Amino acid sequence: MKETIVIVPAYNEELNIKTLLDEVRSAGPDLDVVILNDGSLDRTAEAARRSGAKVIDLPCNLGVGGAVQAGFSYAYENGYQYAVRIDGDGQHPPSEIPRLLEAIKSSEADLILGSRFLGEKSYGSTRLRYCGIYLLAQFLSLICRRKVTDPTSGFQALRRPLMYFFSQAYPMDYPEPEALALMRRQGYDFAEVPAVFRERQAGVSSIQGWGTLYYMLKVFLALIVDRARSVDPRLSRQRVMEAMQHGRDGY
Amino acid sequence: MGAMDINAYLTGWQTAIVPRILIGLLGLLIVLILARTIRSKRISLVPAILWSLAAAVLIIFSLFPQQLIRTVISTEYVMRMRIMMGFVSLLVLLITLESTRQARLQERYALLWVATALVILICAFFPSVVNLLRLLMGMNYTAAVVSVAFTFLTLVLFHFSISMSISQAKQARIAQKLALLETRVRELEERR
Repeated sequence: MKETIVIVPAYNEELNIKTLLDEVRSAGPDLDVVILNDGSLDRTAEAARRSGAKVIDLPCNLGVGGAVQAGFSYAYENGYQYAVRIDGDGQHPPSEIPRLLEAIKSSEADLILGSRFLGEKSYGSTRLRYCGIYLLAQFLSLICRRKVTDPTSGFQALRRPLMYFFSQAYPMDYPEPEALALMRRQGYDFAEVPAVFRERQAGVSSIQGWGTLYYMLKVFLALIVDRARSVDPRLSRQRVMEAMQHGRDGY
Repeated sequence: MGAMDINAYLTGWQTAIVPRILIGLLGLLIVLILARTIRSKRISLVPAILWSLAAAVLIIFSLFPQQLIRTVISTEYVMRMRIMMGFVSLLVLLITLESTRQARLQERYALLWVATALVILICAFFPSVVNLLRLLMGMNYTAAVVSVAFTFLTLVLFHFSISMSISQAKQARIAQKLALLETRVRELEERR
């Protein structure tokens, strides 16, 4: 039984997935990998299975949030201590995974966020998108009382208690910024480390043009509405940690 | 429409032979189908009455278009609106209750529809109910009833949005669980 699992949500990534899996394998021999095939129209699942990865085949397209949540459930149910989440399009280089794992093991944080804007600049996104991300980062830093530079990053490493929380509550579409706000409200903590991102290898991004505006509106609305919600004590960090230490059923 | 226009319009109907024959035939067709369904007892009382009313109106109109229209427009405007709204609300009530009876519609969704129909029905029977709205908003009777009905319909739509969101969330959880179980089955089969 390995300690760490790499969760890869993939939608129509038949062409990228084999390379990505090979890269993950060469990044660390002590990593299990699970592909969340989010109702792809191409043969993503078969390509992944052929390269020897475990595949969870979602029966319909749930969006990246739904797929990743299924991955957290899987990781939690199978007893992993750490989970690393990377995107199936290859923009998160697997060679950076050890850096993230090292960071989470040496810190108190429940989640380590790989940021492309900390440290050396890796790749430039469009100006509009950068403005949006910057605004979002400022707002999130404010409400989370933690410095966030790359709120939309899906390059993350997390600990077991947070796996449980995310398996119970995770936003469905464009989930990353909202998930950060949600976890902070329940008492979980995160930190950022610099990470180098790549241009996506093939296929197209799901957020483009007018989509950027819609994305921004949706995320800001979600963040504000979440503030007005009450905290669920059953999912708070303290409660979940206590339950895990006592090895109670259901945790 | 001015008085001159009405006369010209009615004379137009008097001489429009082909449309009148078609309308009459449509009425006869409804009577025919209705007779067959009644004989085989496949229709309940209220829809039968409504359908025969519709057929009667169509046939009378095809025979005496001028007289029918004149009789109708000689009544008071508000009375006509009340009768029409009464019919509409009865129709909504009927469809809602029938769908619930046949278990195609769950009761909790039926409730708002029944409420909508009842509100329109009350407005039709007691026009004074909307007097306050007429006074405050300066609306006429029809506009007042329509805006009350619109409010209720908006509530119905909102109810739909909520239940759609809830269903989607549940559907996602079910899909996740299904996929996880499928993975587990695959693992167990491979291990055997």
